[in-house]
Amino acid sequence: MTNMTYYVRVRAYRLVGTTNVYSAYSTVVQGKPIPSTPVITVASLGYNSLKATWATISGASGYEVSYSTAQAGTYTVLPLTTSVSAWIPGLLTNTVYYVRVRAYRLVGTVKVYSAYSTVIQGKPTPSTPVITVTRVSSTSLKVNWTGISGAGGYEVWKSTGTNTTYTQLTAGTNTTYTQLTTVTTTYYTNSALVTATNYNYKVRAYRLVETIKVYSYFSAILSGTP
Amino acid sequence: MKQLNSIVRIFFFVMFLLVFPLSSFSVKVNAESDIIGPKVDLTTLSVSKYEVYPGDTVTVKVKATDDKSGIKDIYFLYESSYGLLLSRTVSTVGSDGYYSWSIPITSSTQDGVWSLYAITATDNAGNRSSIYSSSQDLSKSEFNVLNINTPRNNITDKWILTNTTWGDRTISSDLYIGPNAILTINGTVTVKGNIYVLGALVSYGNLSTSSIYGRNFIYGYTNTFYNGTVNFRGGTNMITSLIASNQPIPYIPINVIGNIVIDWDMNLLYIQGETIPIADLSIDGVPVAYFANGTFIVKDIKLNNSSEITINMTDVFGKIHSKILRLDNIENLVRITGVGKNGNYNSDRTIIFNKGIGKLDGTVVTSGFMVSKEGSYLFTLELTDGKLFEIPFVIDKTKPLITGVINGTSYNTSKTITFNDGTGKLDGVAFTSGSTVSIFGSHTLAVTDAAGNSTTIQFSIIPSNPVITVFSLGYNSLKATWAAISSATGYEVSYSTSQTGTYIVLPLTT
Repeated sequence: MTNMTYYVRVRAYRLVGTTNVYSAYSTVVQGKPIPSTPVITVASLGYNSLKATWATISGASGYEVSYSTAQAGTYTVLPLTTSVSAWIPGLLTNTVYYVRVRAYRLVGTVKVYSAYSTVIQGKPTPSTPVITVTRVSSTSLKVNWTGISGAGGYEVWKSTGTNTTYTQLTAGTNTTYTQLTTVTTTYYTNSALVTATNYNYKVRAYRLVETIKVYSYFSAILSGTP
Repeated sequence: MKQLNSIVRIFFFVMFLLVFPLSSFSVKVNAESDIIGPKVDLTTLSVSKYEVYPGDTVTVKVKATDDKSGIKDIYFLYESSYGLLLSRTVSTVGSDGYYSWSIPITSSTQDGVWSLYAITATDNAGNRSSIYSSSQDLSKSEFNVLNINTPRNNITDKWILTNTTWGDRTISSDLYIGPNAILTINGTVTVKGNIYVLGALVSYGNLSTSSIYGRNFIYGYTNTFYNGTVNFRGGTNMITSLIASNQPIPYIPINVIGNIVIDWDMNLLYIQGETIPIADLSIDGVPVAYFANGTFIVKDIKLNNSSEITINMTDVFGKIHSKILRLDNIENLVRITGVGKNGNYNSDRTIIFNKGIGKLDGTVVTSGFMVSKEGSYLFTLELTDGKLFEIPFVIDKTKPLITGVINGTSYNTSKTITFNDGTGKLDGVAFTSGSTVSIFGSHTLAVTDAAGNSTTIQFSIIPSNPVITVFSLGYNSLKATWAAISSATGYEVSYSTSQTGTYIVLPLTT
């Protein structure tokens, strides 16, 4: 029964003939059934939020998620949830947050908590752009991407053929960010290309925190041939 | 062997003649007129005692006369029952008219019967008169050398145990011929009692006796003798009756000498007796050896029966001659109770005896004396008939000390156990101190010393007990883990909602 204290003991035995010869009992050790401890993962969910996910804990009535900017500091507890993931909004870009989750089971009116999960670090960063590459002419290709919330600009990187050494083409400006408000206007047209040559592109967003660029992950690499 | 002994005797006697040749006496007074040898008076032949012990001196003496030149000396030649010879020439006559030879008996003197083989008197004219045991009865000169511990045998019957030839002789009692011995009568022999033939009797005649008891009687010459054979080879024999039977010996005398002592604690019998040593003797089924004179001493035979003693003599014909001594009917019965020979006691002992002078470690104690202190003691009881009985005993009240294991303790390793006294049994099986116990399970070791003090301990050899950790395995289960125990076959897990409550046992697991 959940939260009931049980006393457990073990003794070894050796079979001698047809008789078991027992050792002394072990020390009696207490145990109390509580929900299993969630195993969580924490990922950035944009420039100002994190997302914690975990597997369903058998017998759990819900979960408590809490976070802190210091592992041993004061944790802010989110509203209890019955979901197996939690969105942690309102965070500072590029700041390390410590996240933990514990399950609970309602026994009557009492919540019986599991142990806290391992504390997992997370850092809000801009989301990763998703790009497309389209042929504009026999000498130009156009790279488009979705606008990334909170991004201050984008970097477009290119390589040729199978060359994996990328060259940064340009950095986006706030103008591009402005354009994000309309979402569909984010792009870069790469001109003066060699016809029938393969070009590879990848893009990452960034957000300026004071003077530091905080990048998203690079987008997936896409190729195009003018 | 007997023939060889005879040759030695003859040689010995011939040497006597050579040393003292007849011619050496030819210058004696009236020698020319003295041609008749001296006369030995056998009626005066005697020994000072028949049974003698080392330290004794036995004196043989005889009178002899010579009517003319006078006695020069008397020569005695003795032969032991084992064929040893002893001789002395006596030249001096005592004031009593006897020629005496005092023979010192020492510890090196051959025990057994010594018989006068021949006696020779020589006169001053050199005439000799010799008398041989083969022709005359010289038995009055016999003496029996006994071991210092050998009781005296007062049975007056005569017996022979080895091949013997008799010349003229008179026996005033019964005569027993022992098994495998042949008595040859070669003279005038009178046995005033009966003759009991367990070996063989050969008579050339002139045998007079009451009855002869034997198995078969043969007239005429035979050279084949069995136990019980009587062979009359000729002559005139005067015998009242011949009694033939497969078991011809109706009776063998046996007497108890002095007190019978019983160590009542150990049920041991102390008895001395006398008999004719012609049959196998046993007391309460235990074979008993004779001394050379037919006496015996038994010091530590276990009594089969608390009310009587059975003495059996089984003769060569298989007949058992029994003598039953009822303890309640023995006048000279001495009982010692409270302590017994080599007894080990774990309690106070009260020594009770009904006769004699008791001493404990040399100090006189009276019957009823209690011994309490631990130690080794020697109780002796000296009886008026000179017997001295020694009963060593020990009082030991200390229980054996067992080391190596502690009573009621369980051990996870083999244990070597020692104990300082007694014998041990581990789980009912003999266990030697210093042995190692490695078998898993509960064991009982009982150690008991000779006094009956006992120490019993119980201990166990068991697997090591696990060291466990318990943690929750979800909202409705727990998990216990532990390190493997090398000696374990498996494990039993149990749990309870109360530490001192009833535990639910899970199925055994490996």
